[in-house]
Amino acid sequence: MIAHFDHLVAMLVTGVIVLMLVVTYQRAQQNSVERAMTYVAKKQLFGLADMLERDLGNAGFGTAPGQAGITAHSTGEGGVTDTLAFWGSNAAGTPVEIRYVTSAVDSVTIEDKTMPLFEVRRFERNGGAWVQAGGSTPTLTRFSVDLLNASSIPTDRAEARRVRVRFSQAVLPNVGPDEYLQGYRLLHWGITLTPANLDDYQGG
Amino acid sequence: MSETLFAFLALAIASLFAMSQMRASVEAEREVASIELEVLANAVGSETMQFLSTLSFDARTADGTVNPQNLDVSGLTRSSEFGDGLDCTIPGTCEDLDDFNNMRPDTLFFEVDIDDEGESIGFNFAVTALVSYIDETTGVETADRTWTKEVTLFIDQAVASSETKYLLRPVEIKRQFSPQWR
Repeated sequence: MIAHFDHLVAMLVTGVIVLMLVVTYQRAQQNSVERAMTYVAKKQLFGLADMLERDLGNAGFGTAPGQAGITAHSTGEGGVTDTLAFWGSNAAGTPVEIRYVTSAVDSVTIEDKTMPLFEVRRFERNGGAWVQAGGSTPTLTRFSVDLLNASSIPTDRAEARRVRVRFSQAVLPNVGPDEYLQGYRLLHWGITLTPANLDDYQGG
Repeated sequence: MSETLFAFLALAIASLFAMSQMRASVEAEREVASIELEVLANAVGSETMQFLSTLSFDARTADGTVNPQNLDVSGLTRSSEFGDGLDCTIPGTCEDLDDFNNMRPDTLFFEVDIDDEGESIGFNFAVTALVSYIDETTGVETADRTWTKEVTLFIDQAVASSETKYLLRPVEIKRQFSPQWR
């Protein structure tokens, strides 16, 4: 009888231990993936933030007073800036026209809320055709560039003296082929720049 | 009977292991939450640096008594005379870079979303700064006056005592300024 009891307890304990180890292992794996993906997303976000800060800090570069420094700015559904074009400089310091174009690439439904995912692509034009030169990951949930006057009031291109950028990037851990989403996080970035080259009348 | 004892011992060890893993898991969650706040703190720091870049390098360059293109630094503010404990705000009334040295913490709000009632959702950050002259040859801090000042910002999450602080460590951002680079 005692031997049977021992066997029963041993089997029960073995089962509990195996279950605990499996759950613990899975949880540790999930944490590890989530942490790694958050670090990667942070690095990608800082890459886009640096590019925007450098480009928009130089907005209006090489333009004469009265010439438009910002040549296009349009806002689409949900306040997303879908096109932004302006004069800036390339890596060699030459004045070029720079254009950011936003396009919806996908959407995710999280806690019954559907969120669009955007991709921002950066183009340069030095007199010829537009050439893609940089961009974001296709995981942005917000991208807005607001043109402000010297008093930080939203204005049009001609009166723009400051540029306010806001974007959010989703961290999507464990998104597999079946789009199974175990968790998500959003990273947010924003900065208001006062480009030195936008201090004159910008024309229309 | 001894098998049962060993089985319970194994269960106890496995439980301890699972508890330690759970603790590590909670720490990992906090670390990930802290990364989100770190990104926001960096954005606040970058925006503050942008604001500082629009200010005068020194009170003497602002009033025109010292020419930034002149190599003579003797007219610049001595580091011992930098602002200390001033109520500088961002933006605000402090006029030149060194006024921000040892400033009283200024609280800046970063909005991340707007709720259904139109209220802002975001986080508050306390910003303080240290300002020093930098030796242009060696790139290190010096008490002597030079044409380069380094601003170090410290950005920490500002929370009420009843709120949870997610940012594990304050973010530190350095940037150097010189009127001769403009």
